Amino acid sequence: MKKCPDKQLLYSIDDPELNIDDRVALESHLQACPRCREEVAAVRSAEEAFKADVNGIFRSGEIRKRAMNEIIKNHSIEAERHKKAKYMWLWVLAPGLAIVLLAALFHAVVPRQSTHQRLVTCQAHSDNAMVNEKIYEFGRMVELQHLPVELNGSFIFTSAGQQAWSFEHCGVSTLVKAEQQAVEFVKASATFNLLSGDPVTVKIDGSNLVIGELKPVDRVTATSALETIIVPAVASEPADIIGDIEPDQVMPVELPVSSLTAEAPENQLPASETAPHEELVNPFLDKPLLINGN
Amino acid sequence: MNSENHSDNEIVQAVLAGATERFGELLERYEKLVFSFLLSRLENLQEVEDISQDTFVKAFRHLKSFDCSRKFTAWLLTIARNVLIDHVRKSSRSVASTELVTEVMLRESDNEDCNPQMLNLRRESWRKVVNMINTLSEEVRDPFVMRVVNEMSYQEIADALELPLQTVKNRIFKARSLLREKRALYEEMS
Repeated sequence: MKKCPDKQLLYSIDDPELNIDDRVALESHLQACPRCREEVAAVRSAEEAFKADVNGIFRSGEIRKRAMNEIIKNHSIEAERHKKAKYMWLWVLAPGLAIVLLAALFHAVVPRQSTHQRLVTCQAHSDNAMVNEKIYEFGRMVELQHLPVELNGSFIFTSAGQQAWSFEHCGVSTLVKAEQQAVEFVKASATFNLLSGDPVTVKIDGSNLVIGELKPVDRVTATSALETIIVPAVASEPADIIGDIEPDQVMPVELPVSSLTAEAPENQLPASETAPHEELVNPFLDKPLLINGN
Repeated sequence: MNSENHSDNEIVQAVLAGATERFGELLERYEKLVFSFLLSRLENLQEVEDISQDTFVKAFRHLKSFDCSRKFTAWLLTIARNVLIDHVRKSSRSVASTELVTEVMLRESDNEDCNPQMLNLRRESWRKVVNMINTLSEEVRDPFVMRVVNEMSYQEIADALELPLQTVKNRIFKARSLLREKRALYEEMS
């Protein structure tokens, strides 16, 4: 190689990747060319100096030591965390389990009392029944949690436990105890009738009373068995013929209770809504009922 | 079998299998590479060492995500780059001056190596390195430092930086030329 090589080739004189032919050619050229020799020496020197300077500040093993310490520390923390996480479900489930256990315990003990109390129920059996001077409509349950309560009217007491019974209370009294084994009244001025089940012993002002007589009760008779229901007179002719009826001209008429149905409105029927008064005759009264229903 | 004979991938597999301590072999191989890679980006020696350490810690933590079809060095340098970006973002500081770096070195030497002669040598070396690196453009720094300091082959550098082989060669030549000029200038001045 007589001509000076390009600098890229010259600077790569120390590269292991340089092929053998180029290396031989370069080396022979360098022996003959002091300028190129000087150039190569300068590059080598610069690189060596740079390398030496970097090595001077690089503390071999320092980063490795620090990093490995950090890694092992983190790794053991991570392992510890995994170990804890393994049993974490216990900590998560423990409160839930405790709640379930407490609830089971509560149900095992407390409900026995409440069920016992709930075995006896009291229900208003007329529309004008009153509890603590408040009107209870028909069918409304009387709360027995806070006794005593003053009862006025018709009420059905029912026990749904092992001793099933049902009796009716009619009148005024103060209920002080309502348990299956002991129903107690004070200041009682009422009648008690067994409706179903075994005879019931109740306490009235400290004395035992056995209610043992069965007596069927239906709603209408219960509400007004002894009352007469007053309804306004019904006009038999159209209003334009007989003229307007003044309210004070309405004459009360006594009707037997059996002529009313349970669905009928109370005892106030407006005249305009009633049918003309006619004698009702059953057209099939004198005809025998055939087997086919005709 | 000597650990030097094991490939990077083999060591990674061993670490993943539970041999945590074998990660030290990868550290031994590449601590200087990461250090010199960061050296050309930071002018604070303490930060260079800290971020090098963080790079390896993070590499260990994310070793499961390493794709074995890729070069370990390339993956490692990507992590180093990301850690550096995070660090710069967090610190949001300007690059330290040479004087500041010298101060940092003085402070750290209080706790470690108290030999004043060693300290002066190190300080002088650091100053020269910073000066020299500053003469190189950013794109030629990495291949040159890898070649000269870590004695990596062109192919290894191309793999680590994920660059074409010829690009690596050209950049190293460019760096040598620049360094040669700078050296000549430096010698003339001194």
